[in-house]
Amino acid sequence: MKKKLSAVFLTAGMVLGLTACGGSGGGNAGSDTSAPENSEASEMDAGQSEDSSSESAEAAPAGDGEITITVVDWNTGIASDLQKAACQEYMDSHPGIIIDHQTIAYEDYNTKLNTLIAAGQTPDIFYASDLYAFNYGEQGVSQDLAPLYEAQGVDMKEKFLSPAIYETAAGEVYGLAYGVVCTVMYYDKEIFDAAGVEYPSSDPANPDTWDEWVEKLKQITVDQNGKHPGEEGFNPLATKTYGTISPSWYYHLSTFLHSNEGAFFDENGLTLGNEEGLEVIKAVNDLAAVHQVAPTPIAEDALPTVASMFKENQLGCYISGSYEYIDIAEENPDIGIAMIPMFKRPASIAWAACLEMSATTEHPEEVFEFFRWYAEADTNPCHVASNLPNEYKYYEDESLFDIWMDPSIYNDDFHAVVPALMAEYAYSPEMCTVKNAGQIFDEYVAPQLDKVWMGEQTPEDACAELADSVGAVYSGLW
Amino acid sequence: MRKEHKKMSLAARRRNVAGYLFIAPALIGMSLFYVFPMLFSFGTSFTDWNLMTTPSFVGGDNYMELMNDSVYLKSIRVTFYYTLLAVPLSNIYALLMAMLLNAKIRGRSVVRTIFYVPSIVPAVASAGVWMYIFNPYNGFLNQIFLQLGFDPKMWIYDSKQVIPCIVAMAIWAAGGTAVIYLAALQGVPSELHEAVAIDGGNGLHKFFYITVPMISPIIFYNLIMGVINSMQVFTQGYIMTDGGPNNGSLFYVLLLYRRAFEQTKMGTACAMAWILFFILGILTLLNFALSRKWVYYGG
Repeated sequence: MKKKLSAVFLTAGMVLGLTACGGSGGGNAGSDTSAPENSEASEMDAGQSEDSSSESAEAAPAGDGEITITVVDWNTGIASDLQKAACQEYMDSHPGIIIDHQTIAYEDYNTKLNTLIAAGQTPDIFYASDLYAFNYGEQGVSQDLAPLYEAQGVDMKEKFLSPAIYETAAGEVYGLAYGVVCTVMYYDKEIFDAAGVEYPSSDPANPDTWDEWVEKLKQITVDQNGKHPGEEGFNPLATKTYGTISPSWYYHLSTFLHSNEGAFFDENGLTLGNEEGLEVIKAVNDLAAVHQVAPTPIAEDALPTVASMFKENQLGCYISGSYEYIDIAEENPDIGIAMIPMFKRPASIAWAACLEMSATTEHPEEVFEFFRWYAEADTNPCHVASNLPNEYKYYEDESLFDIWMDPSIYNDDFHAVVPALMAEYAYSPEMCTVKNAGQIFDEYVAPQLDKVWMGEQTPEDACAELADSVGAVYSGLW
Repeated sequence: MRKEHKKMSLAARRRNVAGYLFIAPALIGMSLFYVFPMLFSFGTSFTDWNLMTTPSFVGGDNYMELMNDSVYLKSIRVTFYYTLLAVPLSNIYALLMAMLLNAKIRGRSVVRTIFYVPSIVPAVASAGVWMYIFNPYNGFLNQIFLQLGFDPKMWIYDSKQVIPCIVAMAIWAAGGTAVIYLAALQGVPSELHEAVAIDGGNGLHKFFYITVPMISPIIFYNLIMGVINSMQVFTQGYIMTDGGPNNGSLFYVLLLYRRAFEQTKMGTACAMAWILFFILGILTLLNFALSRKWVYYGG
């Protein structure tokens, strides 16, 4: 009898324990009818990574009439601190609004955002990778911002940079670029001075041509014995100073394709195999394979950090996003900034996280009001000092640009190149306009080009093979 | 008689009820966390579902599309190549290590610890160390190659070398398997070895005619587990190479993860999971069928 009783009590205890664990979320949500937003926020907290943080987690639960707006992004460090401060500022000036700002590590971001959406917990405002920016709009997750701005009498195309507006061919706007960056060329002035070589052009309207740039790279590349590429005895395995690191990432290739009046894709499929595309691939590949002015593109991850290479005078030029400026300039304050070399016309790209607004938010008016405050440069200065503004006027008025890109942090070269570049020559990368871009570029384009960088295939053969394979998953442009 | 039978069945029923109550938490847990997700995944594999919209039934389209998906087919080739290299080599290494550790040598426990430690190092940490070793610019291996006068290699940055490199990591971490072999070796009766010695047999005879047959069930177990684990390798490809270069380390589960959580193609991902399940099932059955020819269970 004792055994039986013990068994019953034990089992009951275990079952109750299980039930209690499983039902805690639902119990809370059901019991706190006055603050449904808060229970949603706490459920979201549970789904976040360890990096998650919540402004409202320390705040008192929302009372009657209070509205919680959830914001999810991938920022860390200073950028995250600035955004949290901005959210606090908004809460201070808008009683009754609680901003629940949460951060998810970038590596896990897409996975966790998609999980939240699948669980019916779409954040009110969220970052989307530009590779997937339009997907959320197409699936009805993101709000079309065009009619909302129009209702407030704002002409988005007049106000915002063209690449900052995530607009489909049909005119729907599913997000705004938040924290814009552009492609520039960093260069080590000491290396150019020592070699007696003219700096790369910093005039956005008249950049070096590709060939001019390669000639400069040959003169600054040097091995341990002081030999340059092309000289007898030059040993590429013992390179002391590389002219550059090959800009082989598909974002950079997109820039050069644009400069050469080419593209990866058009509405019908792959166009990379056209004359313009092949010229760009050959030119980039030749940097390492023929001119010996760069390490092989295939193992760039294995190189020391760019900032340290610049510091040690191991690298002459480096094409990358303006987001790297802070890290590079911290070690090399006098780092040169130039326009990237061109093929047929000057070009750069501008890209960013896409800030999107949920189409299913319970408080569309309040959320859009906060969206505008948060996304626009005039009201929210939180992304000052780390990224570029998304509005034209900041590039047209030097004093406004100085507010954003503090001259004590961003050197003269940066101020000489970037505003003109952004206003005139910055385009959206193709990754934003190709449907299913994540799969197409990561699984097809990049691996196929690896064969070129490894010397296993010619650009022509690689493009022919790519055209065959990618056709199965290519579904046009947004 | 009938009454007595009734009484007994009532008691038996009560015992059964108590038993079921005891296992109820496990049953509920298993149903919720294993059976239901499996059934859900099976159902999802016949749908087009991107997590955001309602799943729509597409029949066997996901399975058919995978058969024509060049990236998917490459991931199968890569994973099989890895398995074919990693399982035999890591088992041979582990068995040899176990024999060494079973020998009466000085500082045996220290040596055992040294060989076992790599298997308890988290995969992420060991990946970091191996990335340095394989670094083509200033990595440990290329430094040695240069000292010896050889040309440096690209290692994990070469699509032909990347899998052998990752296999080397698997061999290095085979300490857990070695410990299982060690336990098995200690269970081999010494009188059998002595009998071979009396008959004039040498060490090789002892190994092939006594040791291997006696530990063959353990070899079989390690083979099965090795195949299952190798077919699901993920971390090295995810952390060290991101599937590259040229999809040369795009392991099956890495592609499945991308399809599910980056590209939100849950239908395709679930179909991939079920195909992997069937591949593993067939491989395991095949191993069991072949085991009749070489596994010795005594008696």
